[in-house]
Amino acid sequence: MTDLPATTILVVDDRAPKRYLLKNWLTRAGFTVHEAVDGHDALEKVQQRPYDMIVLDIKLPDMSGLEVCQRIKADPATTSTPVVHVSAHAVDAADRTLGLVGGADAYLVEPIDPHELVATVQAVLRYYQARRKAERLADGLAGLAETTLAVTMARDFTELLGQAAAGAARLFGTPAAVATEADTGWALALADTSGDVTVTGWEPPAEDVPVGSYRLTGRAAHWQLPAGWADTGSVTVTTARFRAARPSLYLFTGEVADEDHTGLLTQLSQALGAAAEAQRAQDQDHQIAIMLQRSLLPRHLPTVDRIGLAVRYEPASPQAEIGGDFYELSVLDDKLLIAIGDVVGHSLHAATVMAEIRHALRAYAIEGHTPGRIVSLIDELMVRLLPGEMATLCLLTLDPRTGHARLANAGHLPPLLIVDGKVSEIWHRAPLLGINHPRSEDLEFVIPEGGTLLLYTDGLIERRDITVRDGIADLSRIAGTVDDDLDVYCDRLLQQLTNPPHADDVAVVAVRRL
Amino acid sequence: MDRATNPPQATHEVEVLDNSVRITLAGEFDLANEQALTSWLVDAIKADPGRPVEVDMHDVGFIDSSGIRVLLQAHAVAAQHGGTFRLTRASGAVREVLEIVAVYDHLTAGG
Repeated sequence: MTDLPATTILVVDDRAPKRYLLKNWLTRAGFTVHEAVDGHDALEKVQQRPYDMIVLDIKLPDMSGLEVCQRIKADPATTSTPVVHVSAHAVDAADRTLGLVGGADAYLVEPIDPHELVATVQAVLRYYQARRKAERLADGLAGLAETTLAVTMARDFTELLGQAAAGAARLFGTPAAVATEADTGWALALADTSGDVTVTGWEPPAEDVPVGSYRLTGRAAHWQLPAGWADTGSVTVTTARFRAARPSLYLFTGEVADEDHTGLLTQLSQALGAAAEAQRAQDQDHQIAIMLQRSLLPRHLPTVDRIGLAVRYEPASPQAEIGGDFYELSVLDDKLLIAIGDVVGHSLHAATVMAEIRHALRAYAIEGHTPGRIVSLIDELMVRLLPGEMATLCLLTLDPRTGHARLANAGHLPPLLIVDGKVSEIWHRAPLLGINHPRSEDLEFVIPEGGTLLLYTDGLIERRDITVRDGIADLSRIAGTVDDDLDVYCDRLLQQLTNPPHADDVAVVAVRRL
Repeated sequence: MDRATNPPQATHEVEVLDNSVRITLAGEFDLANEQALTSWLVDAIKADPGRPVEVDMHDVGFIDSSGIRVLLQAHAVAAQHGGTFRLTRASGAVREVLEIVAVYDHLTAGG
């Protein structure tokens, strides 16, 4: 493999004629040769630039060649530089052994035959080149495994693409970008070699990407890469696409040509494509769960004379499991039935328990029971038929003409009544559903004309850093001003109190007497 | 609110006293350690069925609805085994949330 260009050898010897000879032989064999005159000179020169090999005299004026060799091998920067010792003196086997034990790769004794020197140098270089190739491959595979793990553990597409781009930049030592269709459209993450990542939207090129894994090198400008990519040079694009119906994944790196690296590019793009597919499937599952949960909630708001209504239901962020928040608004005879609740737990199962409670609530309400009786009946139903499940529920009936309300609460947060900017908490303490506990009488109160009743779930007020009571106080402070448009009002409360993405579901119901 | 990746820190300690078992809880309890809390409490109840169980809540800083559900279930399990289960020394945010869902009396009465 000596035909590789610019293999540079450092010849270390204090005798000029000897250096001249060695240099002459090696230059004729095709090597570039630099010279050093003693041990210190040699150690200085190997710090300044990498050498492919060092031919080192054993006996130097300032230190022994053995020590020079040991120092070179002890420094991590130069430890894999091969060293061939040459000795002017007749040495015995013990001396040669000492040299080899000290880290030298070969030991030649004068008189040196030029052919033997060149053959020895070539043999040692062959071994080192094979070793470097194996090391590069191992480094590449370790980097590949590390990046694959990081993208597999990513919780969303932004993190996935960012880890992918940063991993590729580390692996190939060039800026790298990874793009695919994420949950909110095509996105691209760009990582520079220092590991800084930016994620932007991206327009994929019009031409279709074939199924499988493909690689091409072309002008960077063609791919509309974001600013930060040096758009002058050429870029290697590797694509992975698993089926015709699925989006493809693009991996951009600086130009990568050598065989070891192109193999790695293919492997990496496939691992990233698989991780993106898994993330897509997970996002879709979450979307389906949210759709199912929404289908279990009221589809339309009833229209009631002289009553304004608005509801908001914000599912938890894609990283959180869906919750069991629910609300109910329906007209029964001449009254409006209003309910809000929260099933304990976060899962599709909690959502199905929510649906059972909501339907039971409507069925008992149709039979004409009072709120307190309905709550007791649901409590009993849960203890018998849904053992182990628990839920909070706040339920009231409202006479739209008189504003007369009758309320039963089962462990739910107190509704707020807002009249002329004044906010009161409507407390009615009774245990949550699922433990079949005796309950107090219904609470009766009046919502005057222009008054607004606000019901909500704990997602609106619960934060780790504040107590529930402080959360209610925060809500009370901003809920006192009721916007003319109740939808605007609900949006404002959500916006001011929750910091999306929501860690928990949030349901809000606002009822105003006009 | 990175609950999924950072499970809250929580510990428990069980002491067998002359006439009761005391479980001292400390830390934060939510969905992430619901199962651990369930097994701590239920194991202690079943280890000596019928012996009154006291749960010292003094060092619990946070509990959410999942944690409350576990306490209520443990209360029911103790009753099934002919024993009692009561919380002691709940304070601050923990007491507040137990009062809001109106189970504070139920869980501290030793029924």
